[in-house]
Amino acid sequence: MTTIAQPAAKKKINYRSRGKLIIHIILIIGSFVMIFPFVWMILTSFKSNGESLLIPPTFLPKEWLVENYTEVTRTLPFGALYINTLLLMLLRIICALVFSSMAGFAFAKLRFPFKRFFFFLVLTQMMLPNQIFIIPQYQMLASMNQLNSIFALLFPGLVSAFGTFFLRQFYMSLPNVLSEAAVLDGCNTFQIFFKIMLPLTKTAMMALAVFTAVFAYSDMMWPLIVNNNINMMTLSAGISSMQGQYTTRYPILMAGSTLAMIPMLVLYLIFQRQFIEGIALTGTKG
Amino acid sequence: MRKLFAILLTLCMVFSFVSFASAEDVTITFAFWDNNQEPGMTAIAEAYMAAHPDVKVEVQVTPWNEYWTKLEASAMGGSMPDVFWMHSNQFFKYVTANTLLPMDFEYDYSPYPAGVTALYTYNDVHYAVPKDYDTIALVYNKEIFDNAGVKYPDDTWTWDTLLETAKKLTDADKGIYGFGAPNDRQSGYLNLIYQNEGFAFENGKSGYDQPATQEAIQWWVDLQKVHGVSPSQESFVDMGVDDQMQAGKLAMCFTGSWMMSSYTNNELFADKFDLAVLPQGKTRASIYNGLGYAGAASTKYPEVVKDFIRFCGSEEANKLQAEKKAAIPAYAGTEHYFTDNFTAINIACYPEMIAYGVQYPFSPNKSLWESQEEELMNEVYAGSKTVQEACNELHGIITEIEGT
Amino acid sequence: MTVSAKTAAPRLGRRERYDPKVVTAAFILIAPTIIGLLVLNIYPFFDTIRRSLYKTQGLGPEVYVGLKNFEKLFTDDMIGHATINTLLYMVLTVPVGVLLSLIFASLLNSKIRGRDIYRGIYFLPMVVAPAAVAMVWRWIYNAENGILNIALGALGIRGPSWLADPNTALIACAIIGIWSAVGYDLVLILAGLQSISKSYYEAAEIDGASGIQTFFHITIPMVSPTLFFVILMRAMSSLKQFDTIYLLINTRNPAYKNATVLMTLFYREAFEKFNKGYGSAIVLYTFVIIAIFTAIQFISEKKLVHYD
Repeated sequence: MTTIAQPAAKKKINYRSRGKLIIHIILIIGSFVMIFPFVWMILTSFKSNGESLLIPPTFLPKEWLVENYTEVTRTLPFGALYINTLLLMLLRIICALVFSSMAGFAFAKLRFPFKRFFFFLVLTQMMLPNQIFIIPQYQMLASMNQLNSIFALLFPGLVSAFGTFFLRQFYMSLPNVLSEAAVLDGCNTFQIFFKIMLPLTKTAMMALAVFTAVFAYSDMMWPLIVNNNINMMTLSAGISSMQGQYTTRYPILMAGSTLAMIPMLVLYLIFQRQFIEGIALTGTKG
Repeated sequence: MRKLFAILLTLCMVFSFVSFASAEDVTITFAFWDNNQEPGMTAIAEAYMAAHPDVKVEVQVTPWNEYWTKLEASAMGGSMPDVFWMHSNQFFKYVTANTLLPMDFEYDYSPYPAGVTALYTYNDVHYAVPKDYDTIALVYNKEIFDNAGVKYPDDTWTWDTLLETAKKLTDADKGIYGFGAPNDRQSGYLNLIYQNEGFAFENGKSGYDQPATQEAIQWWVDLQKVHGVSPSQESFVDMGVDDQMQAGKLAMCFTGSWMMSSYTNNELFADKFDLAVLPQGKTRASIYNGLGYAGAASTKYPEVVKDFIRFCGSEEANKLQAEKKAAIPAYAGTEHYFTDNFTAINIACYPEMIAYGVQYPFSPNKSLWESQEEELMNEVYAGSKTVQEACNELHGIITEIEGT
Repeated sequence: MTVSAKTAAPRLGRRERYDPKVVTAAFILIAPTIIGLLVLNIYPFFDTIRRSLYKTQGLGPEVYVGLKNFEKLFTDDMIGHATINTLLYMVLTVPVGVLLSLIFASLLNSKIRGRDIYRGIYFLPMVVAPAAVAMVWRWIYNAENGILNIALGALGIRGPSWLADPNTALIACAIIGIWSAVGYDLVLILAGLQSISKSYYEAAEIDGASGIQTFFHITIPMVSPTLFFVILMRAMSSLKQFDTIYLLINTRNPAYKNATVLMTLFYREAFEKFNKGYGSAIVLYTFVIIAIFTAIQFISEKKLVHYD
C-alpha cells in the first residue's frame, strides 16, 4: 500500500516547493525594489559631501564616514526630537483610538437620526486637502496661546476621520447576534460597546495605532509652522529643517533620516506580530 | 475598562497643556530661514545678550517654504516673531498690511548698498535694516581649463570670449560642457539683460519689449539651443547647475555668492575652482539682492526690537555674520571678514561687483507675473515659442498687472 | 420567547421610531469626533468656501468678486492640464498599487519562511521622511547616471529623462507614489486576509478547487470590505497628491504642464502667488471631483462588497 502512495506524495511535495520557490523569487524582487532606496540612503549617509554629488555616482562609500552621524547628532537635539515624536504619537494614538472607536461603533451599529449627515462630515474631512486646515488651526492655537507646545503638535490629530471610517468598517463586519444577545440580557448601549464590541476590535485598534503613529511621524510641515524651537520639533520636521535655502548637505540629511527611521521600524516590528497574527485568533468570522 | 478610559482621557488633558516656562526677562524671538547661516545669527544674538543681560534673544530657524507660511499665519494672528529676516519678494506684502515696525529712529544708512536700503523703504519710511547683499560671479573649474590648456577667465572677458572659450572646452564625449546656462533669472539672463543695456523692470514698467533685452535673453538661450555649450534644460531638472558644476560636468557657470559655503564644503571640489567677475557686454552689470532685518509691528517690545535691529546692522554684528561665512555683510568695510574665510579663491570679485551692481527687479505685484515668466521661458526652451514671442507676451502681462 | 422590536430583523422604513436611549448613547459616542471635526476641519472648509468668493492681495484687504474665481477656473488652461494629470495620476496609482498590494499580501499570507522579515521590508517606505524619499528617487531617476537608466542600458534600452520628459514625468511620480503606498495597503489587506476563516479554504480544497479558483471565488469576495476601504483611501489620497510632485517638479521643468496636479497648482496659487481666493476655488473644484469618485465607489460598494 505505502509504496503506491509514496510516489504520489513525492509529486505533491515537488509541486509545493516549486510554488514556494516562485513565491520567494517574486517577494525577493519586490523586496529589492522596496529596499533599494533605503540602501542608497544609508550608503549616502556614510559618504562625504563631494562624493555624494559625484557623477557617475559611487555605490559603496570610498570611506565610511561616521562623522556625518556625529555631526547630525550634534546639530539636532535628537533626544528632544525622539521624545516629542514619541509623545506626539502616543497622544494621537490615544485620541484616535478612544474617539474613533466610539464613533466607529456608533456609525456601524446604532440607529440614530442624521446618521448619514454626520458620516458625511467624516468623509468630508478625508476628501479635503490638508493645506486648507493649516492656517485656521494655527490661528486657533494662537488665540488659545498654545503655540510652540506639545498640544499644538497634537491639535490636528485630536480626532481622526480616517480612524472613524476605518473602525466603522471593522465594526460593520462584526455580527449583530452578539449585541442582540446582550440586549436581551439587559445591557445598555455603553455596556455593549465596552464589554462586547470593543474587545473584539483589538487587532483593528492595533492596526489603527500603527497607522496613526505613521501619520504623526511623517507630518513634517505642521510642526515647523506651529512650533518655533527646534526642541519642540518632531523627527521629520527636525530633519527637514536641515535643508538650507539653496543647498543641502545630502549625506548629513541622510544620516538624520536614517536615525529618525529607527524608532518607527522598531515599533512596527514589535506590533506587526501582534496585530496581524492576532486577527486570526479573535476569529470574528463565523 | 472604564477606569482605563478615564485615566487615558485625563492623561490627554494633562499632557496637552505643557508649555514653556516664561522668562522674567524680556524675551524676543529672532526668526530666519537658512540653516547654513545659523551660526552667524546665533553669534549676533549672543553678542547682544552679553551686552544686555536682561534681554533674551531666541533664535528660530524654519526652512524656506515653511518660513513664509508661518510668517503669514502669524501675521494674520498677530503672533509674529519679534525680529525676522525680510526678503525683497515678500516685502511689499507685509509692509502694505502694516505688519512691519517702522524703523523710525535716526540711523545712518550710508554704509549699506543704496539699492538694498531702498528695497526696504516704503513711502520714505525705512522698515528694515540691510543685512547682507549677494552678487553673481563667474565660477570656473581650473582642472578642466588646465587639461585643455586654456587661460583662466579674467576681467577682460566679453560675451564673445565667454562663448569662444565655452566652445573650446565643450567635450561631448567626456560629458563636459563649457558653460551651464539654465533657465534662471537672478543667476542667469537678468545679468545679461543689463549688461546689454536693456532692462527687465523699472519704475513700474516692463522692459521685455526692448530689443536689447530680447537680444540678451536670446544669447543666453542660444548657449543651450544653438551652440550646444550648455547641457539641456532637462538635465538641469535632474541636477541643478551648481551640483553639475561641483560634479565636474561644467567648465564654467554663473553663481551667486550665497553658494560659496556649499562649494567650499565640497572637499572634492574646493580646490578645483576659482572665481572671476562677470564678463562684460556693452557694459558691466551683476544682479544683486539683499536681505533686511525687520521687526513686527505687533511686537510687545518695540524699543528692544529696534535696539536689537540697530545692533544687527552695526559694524560689529556684520563682522560676526561675515566671520561665520553667512553672507557678504551689508556694512561697507566689513566685506573682508567674509572674504578672509576664503583664501584659496578670488572671492573679492563678489564685493567688487557691487560697484556696478543692478538691484534684482522687484515690485509689489511681482509674484503675480514672475511665475508666468518662468512658464513662458519654459516654452522657449521647449521650442514652442521664440524668445521674441515670449518676451512680448510677458511684456503684455506685466503691463496689465502693474498698470492697475 | 417574544422577540422585542429592538432585536427583530431591522425593518427598513423611516417611520420606525428610534429608541431614545440608543439615540442618546449614539450622540454621546459620536460627539467628541463630530465636535472635533466641526472645529478643526469643517470650519476651515466653510472659510475656504467664503474665501473663494473673494480676491486677496497678499495680506491686504479682500475684495468681493463673487463667482469670478470660478469663471477663471474654467478658462485657465493650467486647470485643464492639472485636472487631466490628477485623474491620470489616480488611474496610474490606484489599480496598479492596490493590485500589487493584493498580490504581495496574498504571497505574504502563505506559509513561507522569513515572512516576518519580508513584512518588515515592505513596510519600510512608510517610515522614511518624505524629503529623503524625494532626494533618493531624484538620483534614481537621473537620466544619465541614475540606477534606473543604467539598468535599462544594460538591457540595451535607452532610458528617458524621467523627470523632465513630458511623457514620463507623471509616470515617474506615480511610481514613487505606488512604491510609498504598497507597504501601507499591504498591511491593511493582510489584516483582512488573515481574518478569512480557514473553513472556507478547507471546503474549497475538498471540492477540488484550484489555487486560482480559490483566489477569485473565495479570497477576493471575503476580503472585499478591506479592498473597498483600501481603494477608497488610495483614490482619495491620489487625487489630493501633493508632496512628491511639488518636491520634484518645479516651474522650470520642461514637463511642468504634464505633471502639475490640482493640489500643486493650488499651493502655488495660494502660497506663492498670494492668490488665496483663486486657490480656494481650486480646492473646492478638487473637492467636487473627489466627492464624485467617492460617491461612485459607495454605490458600487452595495453591489460588489460582501459583508458577512
